[in-house]
Amino acid sequence: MTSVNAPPPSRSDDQIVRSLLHDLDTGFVQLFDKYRRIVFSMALRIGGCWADAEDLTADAFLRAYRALAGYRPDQILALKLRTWLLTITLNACRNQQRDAGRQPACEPWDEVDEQVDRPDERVDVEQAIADSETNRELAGLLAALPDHQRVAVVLRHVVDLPIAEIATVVGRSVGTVKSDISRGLGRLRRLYTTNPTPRRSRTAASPRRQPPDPVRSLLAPVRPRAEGPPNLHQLPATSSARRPAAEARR
Amino acid sequence: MTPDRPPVTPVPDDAVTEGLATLAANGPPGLLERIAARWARTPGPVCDLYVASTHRGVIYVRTSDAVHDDDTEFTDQFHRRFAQPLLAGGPPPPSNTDRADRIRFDLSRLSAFEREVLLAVLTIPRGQVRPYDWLAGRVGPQATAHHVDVVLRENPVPVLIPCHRVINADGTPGEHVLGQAVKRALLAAEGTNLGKVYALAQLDIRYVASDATGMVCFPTCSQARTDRTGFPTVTAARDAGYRPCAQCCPAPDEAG
Repeated sequence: MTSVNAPPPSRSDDQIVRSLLHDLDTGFVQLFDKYRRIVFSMALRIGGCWADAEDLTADAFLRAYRALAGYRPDQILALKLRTWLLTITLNACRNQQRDAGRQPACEPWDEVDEQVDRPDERVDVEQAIADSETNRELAGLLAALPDHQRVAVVLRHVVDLPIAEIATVVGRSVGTVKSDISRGLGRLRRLYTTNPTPRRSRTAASPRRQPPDPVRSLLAPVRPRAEGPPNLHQLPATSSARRPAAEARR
Repeated sequence: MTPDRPPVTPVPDDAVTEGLATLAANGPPGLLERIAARWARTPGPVCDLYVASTHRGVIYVRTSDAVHDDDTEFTDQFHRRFAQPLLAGGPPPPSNTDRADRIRFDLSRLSAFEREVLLAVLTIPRGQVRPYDWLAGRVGPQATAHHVDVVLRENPVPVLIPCHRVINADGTPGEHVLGQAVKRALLAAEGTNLGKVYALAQLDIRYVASDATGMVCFPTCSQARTDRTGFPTVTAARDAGYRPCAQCCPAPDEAG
């Protein structure tokens, strides 16, 4: 079994495509090894919590596999693997958000609690890092962004995709994507820098401090996650309902 | 970090973008197992078995005869049916049919009715057989012998879920997903005396009752005794003062 903490084998897309053409299952494992990180990261930061991200990642790769099984060789040769895979992942995230009203939602800051509740599962070291307080706060702020901004910011700064590729994945123009990213980042900066207990030094490029703004004070009550009421989990996770403060107050 | 990182336009090196970059994650170990099934070949009761399993349990079984001893034939059949990656290796699959009730199965691709039928089949002990209409009665009042026969002909996990132990009321073996010859061979390997069941059925005896136990059973039930009287129906046996055996449940719809 592949260790998740080992660097993924650096196969080129050409090699993976050749493998796919020769033996779909072998090629698929190479595709998975190379791209699981960006697919999972995208699912985690767009789709919601850790458990959802596992389902979304499995769903996205299964869709990809089924599509590949139906493609002719020339169609497989023409694929831009990463762009294609992330487009499938985004569709999976959107489907999940659409269906979310019918299911109990989980929240981006559920990750740590979840692992505590299930001590028998192997805890990923990386997850522990991803769940550090700073990251949880940032993940929570991300979840509060409008949908298009969140997707654009995640693809640009979490997944590290070039803007032109993001435009293809989300099916919007480069200009729109740039604007989504910059508005999303702007909003994150405003909210993030007003955090009263910063965990990391950000003196170098820190934008000006702002007085506590109303949005920030709305977000504050969410931080002590442990005493959150259990009915938090039953709230819908649609993008409009992803304002944690509003939910925490109900 | 992605392996072939594209050239990126410079972004402000501030805490937010630094923080966002740390939000990437590989996901848990075993993520691939949630997507791909694993297969292995293992010794079986009549010949080798090809067994495919997902993280939930056994999902697909074929005898080596049924796939002509050809690994590719097995994986092709699996792909056609499940449209899911299938990789070699993984833990050795179960093949001991005595312990079928302890095997974990992945029946998630089946309908609720199909699952119910297959789980009811699991209750038939090794060495015994039941007619199709009995199985239908176990599943529910709406099910018929025809309905359950249709399900069993598509049993994705034959041998391990022993659909070969479900036979026609007249003692003939009936159809099997892997063919009648396999069904006969599996029953013979379990020491089931199908000839006896057939011979009794010819005399219109479907159930046997014993004065020693006061119970009426299927002829292959382990509780069936030699000092027995034959009956065509459970009702006839009941009228004669026998109660249905609690182990083989010859009248499932009454046993409730």
